[in-house]
Amino acid sequence: MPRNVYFSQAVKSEQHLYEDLIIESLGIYGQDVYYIPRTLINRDNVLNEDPASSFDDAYLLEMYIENTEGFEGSGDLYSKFGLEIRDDATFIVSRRRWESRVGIFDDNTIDPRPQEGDLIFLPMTNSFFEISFVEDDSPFYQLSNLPVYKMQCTLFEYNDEDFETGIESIDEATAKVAYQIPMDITITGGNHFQIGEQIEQIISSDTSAVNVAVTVSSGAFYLNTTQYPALTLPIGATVTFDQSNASNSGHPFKFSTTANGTHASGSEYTTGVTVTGTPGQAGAKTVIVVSASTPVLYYYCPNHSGMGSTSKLTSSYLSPVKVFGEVQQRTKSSDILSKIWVSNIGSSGTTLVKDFSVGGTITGTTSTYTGTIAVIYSDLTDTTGQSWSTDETAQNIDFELDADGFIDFSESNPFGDPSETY
Amino acid sequence: MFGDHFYHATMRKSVAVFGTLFNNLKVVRKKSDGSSINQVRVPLAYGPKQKFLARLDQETGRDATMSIKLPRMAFEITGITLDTTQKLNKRNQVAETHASDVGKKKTIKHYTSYDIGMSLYILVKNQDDGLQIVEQILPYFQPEYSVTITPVSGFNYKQDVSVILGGVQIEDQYEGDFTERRVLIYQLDFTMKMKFFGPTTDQAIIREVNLDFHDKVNTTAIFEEMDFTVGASDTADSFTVTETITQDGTE
Repeated sequence: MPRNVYFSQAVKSEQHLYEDLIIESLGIYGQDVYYIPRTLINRDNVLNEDPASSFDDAYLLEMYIENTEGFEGSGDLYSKFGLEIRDDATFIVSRRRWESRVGIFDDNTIDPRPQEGDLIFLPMTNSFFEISFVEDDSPFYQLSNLPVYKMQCTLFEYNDEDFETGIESIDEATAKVAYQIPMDITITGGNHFQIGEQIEQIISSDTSAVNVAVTVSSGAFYLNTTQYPALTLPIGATVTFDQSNASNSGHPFKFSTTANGTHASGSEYTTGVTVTGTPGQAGAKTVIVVSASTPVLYYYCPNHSGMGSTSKLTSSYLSPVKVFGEVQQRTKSSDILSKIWVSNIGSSGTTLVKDFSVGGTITGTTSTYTGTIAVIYSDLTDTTGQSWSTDETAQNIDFELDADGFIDFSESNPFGDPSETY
Repeated sequence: MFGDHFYHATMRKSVAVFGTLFNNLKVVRKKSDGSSINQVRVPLAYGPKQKFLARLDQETGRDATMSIKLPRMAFEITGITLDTTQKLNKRNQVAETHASDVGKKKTIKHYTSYDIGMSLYILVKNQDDGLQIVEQILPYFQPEYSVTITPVSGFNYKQDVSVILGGVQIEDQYEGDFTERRVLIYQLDFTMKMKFFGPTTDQAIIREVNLDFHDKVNTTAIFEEMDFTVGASDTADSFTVTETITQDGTE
């Protein structure tokens, strides 16, 4: 028997009334929470994960917590990994409210909905919940409509993800649990670094003097034994083209902005260039100080055409090797001394992982203030009771300090270097 | 029956040595262009702990902000087994110069070899984090890595402790309904070759030897006396032997 056509279950006005009542109820009985979408940074398409997710937005929204007598889940557990809190909660949000507050900002999805992996910050308990499952058809088609999302959430397992939501309470809460390194900074000019700004320590930059050995063979210049190479000259560096080899006799090393120089109606480039000695004799060299305005140059011999071919000498900033981090907390010990807690530490410009080092100069990228690292309260050297990395359970330093009394370090230990500072 | 109390804290030292091996491992997260976003020195802890201390160390009394902070590592002792492949010769002993009394030597007469099972657990949220940690460990164990320790306080005696990696187990509960937590644990099983030392004793050194040659018939008559002595402050590295030979009562 077919359904009675005189009774409709999908009257728009009734559906809207029902939905309005739900929104009103959520507004009365619900909690103000922040919905925090996840941003994928570098999805690994082999292992199928995104370890470096970040959370850059937060949207204030009312949600109803279905649990009435406390959170669900296993609660406080103690395992070999320490204390773990397994609280679960179910949040209910109006579809229409979620779409108007959050969904409209989603440009990547045709039909956006709350996603598993997104977070909900509950200010009442200062807790972060990760959505593990979104139930989108419960209650099941009341009035042929689905007015709410029911999100089953579990307390967030923090993996040092980056939070830059702009909501102070959220960013502060995550900063407190982020891995941090405390350090004392001797500041310059009474200017303390700002909380939240990025600081950098340049480990090395390739602006040191560069020497290039010039030889001549078969009517061509060889630079560092390679014929006609194209070189990149580091900006800020002084580059010496050494012509002391006897094969250079009669072949001055000149620069021009035109390939083949004066042989191709070009002119000699002399800005920042110093020529010393006679080519082919001891001490002969052509030195150029490379600046940001140094153009693309070609090298040639004024006496013989074609010795430099069309090989270019380009100049560019080479990536400095630097360590960077974010100032999470700061106290002013005196007018010239700050204590800062740095998180999100990373390094660039090298395949090796670099660390901040005592005595290094650090610069604030926002304030441009500078300072010198006086002390790093590392996990390996800290005996002052400073908590390392804000992880109260880490015993990394304790093992090392205890074992220093009986481990014979005259045989190298690749895992722990007792002299290392972090 | 066995005598005075002694305690070399061998197991405690084993824990500290094992912890020191793995206290400097890092996890680095990178952007798609290869530059690093952040780096974390992985927290390491000895698993067993008094629960009230766990509460003291970690904030309590209010709702937790996060469930747990990852990645992290823990280890525990899984067993102590007699190493039947090693046996100390009964006449062998550890002997060292006494620091304050040249007339004595410090000795340890007994030790036995035991295999201490240690398991290192790595709890991570992502496979990449775990694989970074595991890969920083595996190449050093072929399958053993030796650490030299001075096992007995007050002795310079050195012992090479072999730490042998037996295998790696991966527990990845990624299946199931969406509400189940994914638990990703790497377990590395090690064996540490440790020695348990007995009590230390101060043993007197023979510093004087007297030889008397008697008449076989008249046993009270001495043909010759030979006395060998070293100086009161002589050491094993610097000494003078004084020989005194007396014949028929005359030197």
